[in-house]
Amino acid sequence: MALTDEEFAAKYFAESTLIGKLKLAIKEDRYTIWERNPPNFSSAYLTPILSLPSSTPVEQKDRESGGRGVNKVLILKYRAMIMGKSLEIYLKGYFGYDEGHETIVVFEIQSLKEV
Amino acid sequence: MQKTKHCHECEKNAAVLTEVSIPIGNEIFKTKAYSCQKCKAIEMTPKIRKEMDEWGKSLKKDVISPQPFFTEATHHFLDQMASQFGMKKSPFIKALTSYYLNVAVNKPNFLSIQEKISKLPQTSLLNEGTRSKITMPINYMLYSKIKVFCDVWKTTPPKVIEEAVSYGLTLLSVEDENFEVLKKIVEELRQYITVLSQAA
Repeated sequence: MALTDEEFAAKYFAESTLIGKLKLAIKEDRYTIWERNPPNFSSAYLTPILSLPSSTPVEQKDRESGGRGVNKVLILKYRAMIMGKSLEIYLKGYFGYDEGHETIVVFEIQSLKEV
Repeated sequence: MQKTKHCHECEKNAAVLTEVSIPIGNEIFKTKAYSCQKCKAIEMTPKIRKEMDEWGKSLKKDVISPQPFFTEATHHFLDQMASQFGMKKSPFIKALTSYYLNVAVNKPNFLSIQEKISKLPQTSLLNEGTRSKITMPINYMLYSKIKVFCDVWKTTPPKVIEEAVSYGLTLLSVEDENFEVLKKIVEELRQYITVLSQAA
């Protein structure tokens, strides 16, 4: 069953690693992505993150753009086999708040591309 | 005044909540979402993705009708194998495509298996000669898979189906005792199609 906003936020804080927080957002389908119309995004690009080792480094920087949320941006570069092809993928985003509160409810993807 | 949201695509604070029409193949999915007035990007939230998936799965119509080209030998073998599985040609082609996109490409040694298959004499036999097209109505679920494959490999839906059919038919033409490495895969493909044919 899907987590409530409060449960998701609690799990987010319980995760000790940044990769763990990202995995949580993907596993719980708590991410938002902006796409040109028609959309060309598939969750197939994100699901390989779930099997990355827990020691996978995630870069963290001060955030300069975006809406309400954590003021750090997370950057992850990973290699994934998608549809039989090995791709190097770049993911950048931050954890955003819900409307009117400061509860972390979603991972806001700012960039997702093939390197 | 209408509330605006930051658009991550163009970095402008210009997205407003509005009715959006998203083309999915030949069909249009309509919903309310934040859409950027500058770059027209749409905020795809978990809720909208879920809504779109439910809409797609409930569609009675097919969303695309690509037209792959097959040689006479391929058409003939497709007819023969389809009847062996108690299926019509079109669902059989879909079963081969579904196997290719859901199972074959996920094998860690997919590329080496594909290379092995492409070198078999059956592959060239199936691909020699003049080609004629066939129209393949594709539903939302299979379309979603085909689309990812097309994006990743920079190809088109008819080409994906041609590739999947060539891969599957070559496997089905393999004599188990001669190609030990492919034995398990052939068996797996046979089981996959059998399950789909029973479901149909």
